[in-house]
Amino acid sequence: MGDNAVSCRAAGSRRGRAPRAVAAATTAAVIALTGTACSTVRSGAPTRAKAPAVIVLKQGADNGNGDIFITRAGGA
Amino acid sequence: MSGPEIISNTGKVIWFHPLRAHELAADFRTQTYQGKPMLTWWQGPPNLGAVAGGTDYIYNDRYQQIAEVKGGNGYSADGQEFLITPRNTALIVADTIATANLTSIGGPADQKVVDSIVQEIDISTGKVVFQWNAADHVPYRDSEQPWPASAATPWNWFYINAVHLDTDGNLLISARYAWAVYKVNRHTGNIMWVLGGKHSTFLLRAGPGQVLDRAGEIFAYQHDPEAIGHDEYTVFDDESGGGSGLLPYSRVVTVQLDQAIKVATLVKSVKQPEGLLATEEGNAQTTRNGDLFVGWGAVPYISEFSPSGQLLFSAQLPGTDITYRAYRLPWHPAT
Repeated sequence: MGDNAVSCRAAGSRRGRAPRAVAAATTAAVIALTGTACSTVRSGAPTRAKAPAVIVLKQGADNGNGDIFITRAGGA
Repeated sequence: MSGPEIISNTGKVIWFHPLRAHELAADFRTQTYQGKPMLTWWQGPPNLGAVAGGTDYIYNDRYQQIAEVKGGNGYSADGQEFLITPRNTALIVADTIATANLTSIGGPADQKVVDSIVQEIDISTGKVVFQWNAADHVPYRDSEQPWPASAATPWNWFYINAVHLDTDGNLLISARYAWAVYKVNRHTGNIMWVLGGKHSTFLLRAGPGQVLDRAGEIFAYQHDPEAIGHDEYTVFDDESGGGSGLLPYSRVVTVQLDQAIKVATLVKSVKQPEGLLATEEGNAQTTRNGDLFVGWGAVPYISEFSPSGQLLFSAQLPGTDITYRAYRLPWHPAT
């Protein structure tokens, strides 16, 4: 993985506890979990990593098929 | 900021793994490895499909990395596919630059080309157990992509963007620039059939209410062929390679093959709900209840359709964000 990347989970999500891997997999420390963003400290330089939610336009498929998995990247 | 991300049905972030600047992630989903559910994705330089590729990662349900997969034989994973098979091997795509003599088709004698390669990697050992180079099996003349003005500019003539398993265990390989899906014997590498393109094994037909594109194809510049059983396949149909499309919109097509009479029939399709054209990327996943979950690639939308084609769910990515693929999958992290 990218060693200076910190995985985080949104506060208040239905997943409950924070992942144990965060501390084990990196030297960074998760210092805050607020809303849909996570904040991290890496190599002494604070960096905010915000993961915006998607904009739901039509919501009618809460049918047990699961969660949504994406890899956001800046488009052209 | 790029990274693999899990989102709830209401659009809220459940988990996000931010990457360093100038890194990209792709093909993030759950898969089964050694009988257990895992998170998997590719991570590397910010160009999918590039010769200088990246690494595939496997995380357990405690969000701990347990394995990584790299290409073998001097190649690297280009990010367009990371599929774990029931044999605990990984199917990936890699690319290499070669020189080809194209004089038989009116081209240069020394054209640089991008050759696409499929590799199957034993995840536990890193050993390459199968390799398929498109140039060994498909003639350059089957490309729908014009070669560059300069012989020194690599011609991306085939461009594998997906490799999946058919229901019998053989491989389905999507070649974006051949407008074709190839079924390949996973042991011999021999091509078993070709769907679409210049030398389709099947006559292409549109079923009632369906249309072929302007080139008479069921799909073009496509991604993500998926076997859904009973000789039916879904394909994400971009219909554009960057210019004006062969249709004015992208769609997902369902194709029925009749192996006896060698006919492929477009039996069903769902259009991009906003009527937009994806010039690259995209995928379509049949969920466990039969819905169709679609990532529209370069068009920043994700959708879910019922089996009858009714739009059930639609979401837009913020800003200029896009996603290479999108999935809807059950995930139950350890507590």
